[in-house]
Amino acid sequence: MNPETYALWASIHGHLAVLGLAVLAHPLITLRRRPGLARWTLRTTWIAAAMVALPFGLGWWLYPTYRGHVKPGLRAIDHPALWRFESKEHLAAACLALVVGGAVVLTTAGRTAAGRRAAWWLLACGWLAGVTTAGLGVYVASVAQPGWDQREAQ
Amino acid sequence: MSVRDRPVLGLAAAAAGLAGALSYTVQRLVDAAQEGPAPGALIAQEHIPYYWRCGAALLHALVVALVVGTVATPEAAQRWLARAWLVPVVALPCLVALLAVP
Repeated sequence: MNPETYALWASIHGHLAVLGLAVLAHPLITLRRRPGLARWTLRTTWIAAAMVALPFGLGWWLYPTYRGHVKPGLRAIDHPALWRFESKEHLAAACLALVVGGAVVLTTAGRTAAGRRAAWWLLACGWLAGVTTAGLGVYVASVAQPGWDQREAQ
Repeated sequence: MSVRDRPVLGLAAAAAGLAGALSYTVQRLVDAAQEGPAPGALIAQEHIPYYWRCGAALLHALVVALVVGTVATPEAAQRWLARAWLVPVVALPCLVALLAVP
């Protein structure tokens, strides 16, 4: 993969994830404000889960390129972005587990208030992890790019 | 898309989601606590620890879902789902740990 292709897919990966988090705000708000479970609340939950899973998959696909071509330069100068990237990948994994878990709980137990509350907490914790991931991702993307050797920048 | 009244599946999914996050966190903390190879060698390693951690976390989540789905009764599942406060009690420390230990 050349640097331009990597940068393009990394950008798509980040934008899709942010869009997914924005969509996830819909069920988080409606589950709190409405007494029952609206049809669109369930739909947007699954759309958000898919929009979180897809960039996660893209991240998996991009990871070997990052590891082979971007990480060595960051490690050479011990750039803080190296460690922020590590936190980002950990939080992304937790985010996906919580959001998909929350979507399944809402689908299978969303008729009851207890089920909706459990789903809300899973989605809310997933959203928190996702927003933190996105914030770290914006920072990392601003400095960690292939084609720009960190050692030359020093 | 319709909602089914299956509290046992709901509890199994909630347990799986939490187990996935918890498993990943524990694996990462154990990795961080152990003496690892030199930083330069990490890049040259044949396998990618991140993939292994995600794979193991998925496996743990599936096993937990299977066990909970098999063992829990609908009444017990409703009782446990009502304890939704357990979700942030488990998930938030995981998120803090993952942020604190890169």
